[in-house]
Amino acid sequence: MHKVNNNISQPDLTVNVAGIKLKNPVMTASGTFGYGEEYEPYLDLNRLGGIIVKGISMEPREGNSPPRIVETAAGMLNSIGLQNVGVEVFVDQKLPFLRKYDTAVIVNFFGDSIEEYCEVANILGAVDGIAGLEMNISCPNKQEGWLEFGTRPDLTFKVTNAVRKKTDLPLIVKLSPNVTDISTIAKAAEDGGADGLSLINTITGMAVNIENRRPMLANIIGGLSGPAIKPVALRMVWQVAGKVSLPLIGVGGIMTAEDAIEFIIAGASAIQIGTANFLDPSVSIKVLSGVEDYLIKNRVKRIDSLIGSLET
Amino acid sequence: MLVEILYNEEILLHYYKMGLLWSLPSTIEAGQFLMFRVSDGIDPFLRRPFGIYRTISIERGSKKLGGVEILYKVVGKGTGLMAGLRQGHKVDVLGPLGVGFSGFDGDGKLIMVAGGVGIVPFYLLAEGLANKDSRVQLLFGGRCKDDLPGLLDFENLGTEIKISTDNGELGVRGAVTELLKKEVSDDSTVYACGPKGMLKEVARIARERGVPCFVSLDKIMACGMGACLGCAVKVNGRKSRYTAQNLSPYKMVCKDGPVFDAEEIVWKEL
Ligand SMILES: Cc1cc2nc3c(=O)[nH]c(=O)nc-3n(C[C@H](O)[C@H](O)[C@H](O)COP(=O)(O)OP(=O)(O)OC[C@H]3O[C@@H](n4cnc5c(N)ncnc54)[C@H](O)[C@@H]3O)c2cc1C
Ligand SMILES: Cc1cc2nc3c(=O)[nH]c(=O)nc-3n(C[C@H](O)[C@H](O)[C@H](O)COP(=O)(O)O)c2cc1C
Ligand code: FES
Repeated sequence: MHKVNNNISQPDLTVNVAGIKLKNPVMTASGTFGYGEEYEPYLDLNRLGGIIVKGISMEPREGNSPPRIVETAAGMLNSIGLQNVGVEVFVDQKLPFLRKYDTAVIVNFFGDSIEEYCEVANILGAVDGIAGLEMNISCPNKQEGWLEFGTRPDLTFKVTNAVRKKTDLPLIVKLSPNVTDISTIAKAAEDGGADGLSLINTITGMAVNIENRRPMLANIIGGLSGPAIKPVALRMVWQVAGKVSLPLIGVGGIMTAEDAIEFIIAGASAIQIGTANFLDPSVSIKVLSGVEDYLIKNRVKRIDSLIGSLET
Repeated sequence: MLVEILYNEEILLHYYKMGLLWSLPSTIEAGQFLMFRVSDGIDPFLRRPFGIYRTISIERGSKKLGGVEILYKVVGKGTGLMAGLRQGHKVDVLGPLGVGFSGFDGDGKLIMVAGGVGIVPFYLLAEGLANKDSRVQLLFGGRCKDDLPGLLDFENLGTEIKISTDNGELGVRGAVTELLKKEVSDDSTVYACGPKGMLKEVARIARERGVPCFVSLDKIMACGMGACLGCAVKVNGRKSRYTAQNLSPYKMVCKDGPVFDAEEIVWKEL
């Protein structure tokens, strides 16, 4: 048997995203990996490129009435309603656990006013052990008739710009796919001072119980995630990659290494695994090994060279 | 974790028992469950929760190996596919998960109220208490005599059993909660698992009689480990506003339960 060149056997998986150095591009998505501790029995958290925790707000949030989840074709709908422990409890009780790991901790956060976004970012900027912030702008704005920030370029710009001034931490803006033109919103986030973009959040949807003619979710509308949304997410990553110069993090329906590689080729510098964690709690490690195998097999020395390498 | 199916047999119409070659920690609590991945692909998409019915042991060559048995009812796509799985096939399971029954301290009488497949968490309990001095009684209700899965197992244990069926085919005619009204006494502790309507009525009876009552709840789950916050159930006794000092008004069935003190549950919102 012919021996493969040894130099290529260990490809360089490190990526730099929004000023955050990741040892590999595989992260876990907000809301699907709790605060990390829930998954500790199932995988070595040290192997992950990053962990993005459940979205945090200033005060704890109780979330929506149940039922909150329903299975759909190739995915699920959720209307958790951003239930979370609040920034104070997060910093005191959840962050110490995550600090033990040599993995980038990225804190997803949100608010229902620009002031709340700024307040949370300000508090998080003053504590140790946080590599960066991911700002969820798929959140209703109480000053604008509960319209989601991320559905309008001007609101996206305003909130990004305001938060930018409050923190020195790398700021990643997580985009909503529920818009007519994602690249305009992406541009607004870039202009507002974002260091990177994550896309996509869940796509709004619903399901009906035909026996009692009631919605399956108490909230009626929920967010669709899982393989069903992958083509949409991929298309949006590709479109945005052509429009902004910020690093992108691809998320939406990734279940396998092949899925992850598609996103990287389309323009993502890193990827997040969300709903797939529910099917297999150690899926992220499998995706990571699969990406590594792909690089070796295709003699790619550095994953960097794969990013945005789509031939058209 | 991939485990081998030892057997998968129909025990009654629509009811199956599946043995899995899987040694669990000896500390398993009655009422804990596992998350079963029905398909290697994505249809059905989410894992399905199933209670652990009992632990088993088998001989392989000269080795003694541990396993678990689940007892399930075919109600839809996932359980329908499970029924077709064959011996020797490997399936992906996670567990044991959740918090089981633990409110009974051995004093007085334990009444286990089961509706149909709600029998599952009680075998481990009945087995554990079989040779003790404790007074244990099973009230088992079903639509008909073929809706009482595992009945023989409890008879073999020597558990005291009272049966009710909707059509009166076996035991008394009517709801199992009617049996509870007759059997409950001041020194009883009530454990229940079954349809939502039955649980509500059991909780009401227990409250009326002032006896402790614990119920196992069923909610659609995604992660099974407290990460997605999808299986929320509203609980009592929390301050109206959730703050850093006040606890959340919701608990998670997968992690804080599935067994809860009946007094804790906001029944009208379940
Ligand atoms: C903690 C826990 C322990 C459980 N233990 C057992 C057990 O030991 N044995 C057992 O047979 N079942 C048990 N269940 C219920 C079991 O998980 C469901 O019956 C199963 O998920 C249905 O899957 P399906 O794909 O066949 O049904 P689906 O195709 O998903 O649904 C078909 C129909 O089944 C009903 N259904 C769906 N999901 C549930 C559910 N979670 N509970 C009740 N009805 C449902 C609905 O009416 C639905 O319309 C348990 C549930 C929980 C939460
Ligand atoms: C149960 C659940 C909870 C989520 N919570 C959040 C959240 O708090 N903040 C956020 O920005 N995104 C949240 N998301 C969106 C995911 O992070 C991700 O963007 C989306 O699910 C698409 O990826 P996936 O298909 O891999 O799951 C949540 C998704 C799910 C399924
Ligand atoms: S199923 Fe995810 S929190 Fe209970």
